[in-house]
Amino acid sequence: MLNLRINYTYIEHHRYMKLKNSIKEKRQKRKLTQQELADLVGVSRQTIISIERYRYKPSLELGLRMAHVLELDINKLFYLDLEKNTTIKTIEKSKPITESKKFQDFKEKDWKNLWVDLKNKL
Amino acid sequence: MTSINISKKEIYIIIDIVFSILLIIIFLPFFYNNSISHLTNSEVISKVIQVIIFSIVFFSTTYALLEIKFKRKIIKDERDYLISSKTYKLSYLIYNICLFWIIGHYLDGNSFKNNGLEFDDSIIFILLIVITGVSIVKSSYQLYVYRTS
Repeated sequence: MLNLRINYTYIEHHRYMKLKNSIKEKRQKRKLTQQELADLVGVSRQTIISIERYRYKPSLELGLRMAHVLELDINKLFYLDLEKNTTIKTIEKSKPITESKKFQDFKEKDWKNLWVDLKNKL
Repeated sequence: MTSINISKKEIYIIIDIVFSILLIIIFLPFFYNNSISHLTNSEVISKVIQVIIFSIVFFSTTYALLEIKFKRKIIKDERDYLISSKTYKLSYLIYNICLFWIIGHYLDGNSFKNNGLEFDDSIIFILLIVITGVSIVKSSYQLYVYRTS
């Protein structure tokens, strides 16, 4: 039987990807205090503090409201920290070829492999 | 010296803890010293009225003082609901464990083995201790979660 070597390269994403945000930076750019942002969004100041310190993950609704108030796209406000949690792995695997080959297509290497296979079987 | 930045919500929780502690210190010894079966109805009713008056006076004064000091209204948001659900879950668990412990204690007792299920007077005191204790644990955990999450 002929064997085909295949290299699999894949990106492994870890299950836990940290949700990060740039609220503090964007808020400071707009010269808003935590209390002002909290009033505009309709939450308490403590909630804003917790979100900025990554202690609390806001709901989608609150995230959208924040993005609306800061006039930003939600993707720019909240993002997954992928870089630190992604690894690239390469795996070598042998895959048997099951397709039948025509006699005319046989090359010297194939003859040799066939001979080895037959020898092993006998 | 650095000052502790504390919010109005956290002060409300501290008030709840203080109230539970005061309730244990002031009123629970009465139920420990006097068994319910030996008390007259009027004695029990007067004690209950004392507890109600104490709670009204305590909460009205503390809440009034708090409203004078912090004029900003409390906004309840999704984080508050999350924290309260977490704390109620814990208190429910502790309450259940305590109830099962009490039931087990009475089922295992001699009174049940000899005369059937007979609760003695201490059950009232134990239940009051459990209720106030669970309230303290719940509020303390709530305060902890508010400070750390």
